[in-house]
Amino acid sequence: MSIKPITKDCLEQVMQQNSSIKEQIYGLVSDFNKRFNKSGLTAQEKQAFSVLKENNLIQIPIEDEHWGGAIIAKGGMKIPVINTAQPRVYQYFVAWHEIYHLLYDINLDEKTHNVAIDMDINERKADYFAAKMIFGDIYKYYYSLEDENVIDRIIKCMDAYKAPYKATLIELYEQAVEVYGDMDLKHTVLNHFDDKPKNLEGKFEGLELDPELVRSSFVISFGGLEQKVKKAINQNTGVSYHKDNYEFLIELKKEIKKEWEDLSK
Amino acid sequence: MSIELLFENRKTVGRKLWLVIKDNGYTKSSFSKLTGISRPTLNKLIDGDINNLATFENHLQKIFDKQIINADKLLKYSPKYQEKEETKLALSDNAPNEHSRNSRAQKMFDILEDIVHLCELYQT
Repeated sequence: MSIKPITKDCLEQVMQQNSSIKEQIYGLVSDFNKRFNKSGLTAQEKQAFSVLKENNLIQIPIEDEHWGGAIIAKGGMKIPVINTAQPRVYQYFVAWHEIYHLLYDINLDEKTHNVAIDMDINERKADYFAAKMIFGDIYKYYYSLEDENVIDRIIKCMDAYKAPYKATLIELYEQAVEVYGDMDLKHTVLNHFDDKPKNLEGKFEGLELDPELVRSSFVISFGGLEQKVKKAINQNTGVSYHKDNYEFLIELKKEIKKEWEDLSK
Repeated sequence: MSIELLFENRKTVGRKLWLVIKDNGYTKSSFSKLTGISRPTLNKLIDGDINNLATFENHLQKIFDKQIINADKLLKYSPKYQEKEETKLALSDNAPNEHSRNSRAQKMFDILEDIVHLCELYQT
């Protein structure tokens, strides 16, 4: 679904929503850590992609700044999709957002029909889950930085947690208000919330940080589909359409690459 | 089966055609290449949105020429498998209401639809 962008004017409302779902989401975070981090991965973004890849993640670059990804649920299967034309930092957040939908969103359960669900709160749950998987004690980290410039500090937080600009500020706001009662930081966040720096790559470079985080990755992956089609070819030598489908799949990959060659230069 | 009768029932014909395509292991794009019907036109045919008899006949004929199915069987076609559950989506999409996708993005969504269809065919 389309999610209403969060601005400083609705930040307080977001906090109230977070507060109402906090207990549930903390439970899910705990459940996730017990059940799904089998390999003991410590890099949060690797962990997210690892879970999605186990579920046949499709990675495809789509030239649309608003479309981050999806879970496509059809006939008993749920396929995660990530838009790799978006900067990595968004991909990581979207990955966790989609994990919520993949594992915990009952609206996508094939046996659940016509669920009276508030989609706005459902999306907030996915975002809140993503934030809780990504951030540690960002408040302390923010104050551990010596930079005087607020934007520089925020960018360093983005780099440390591999999180998007607004998600970083929302988490900082929540911790400042609810945990530490820091009204100065609350107002600082509000003052900068709608002023995302235009040239993030340049800002990262200026602060001697790796700008790859705010660049697109343009990864193309069909989630193991090629191997499955190849297997079907080997197991059903008399059936010709598997071979046609394999060739078709390779053509699709070429088409995507061609579309993105110029743009990724 | 007369072309007029098929045209009268073009919505049903479209639905049946989509079942034929899926049951034979094709995607919209691969079927489009096979028959020489452009992808947008195939979409219209499947949606039952071709409102000109001559155009409708012309495109259906391309399918019949490939001997995938004939006119008599198309309208009565029953799927080999039960039609699968309707697609459900959870999107990460922050687009404002007035936002429209550009043609390159739309092309990628069409490709994504093909990939998802293949995933359906090859899921284990």
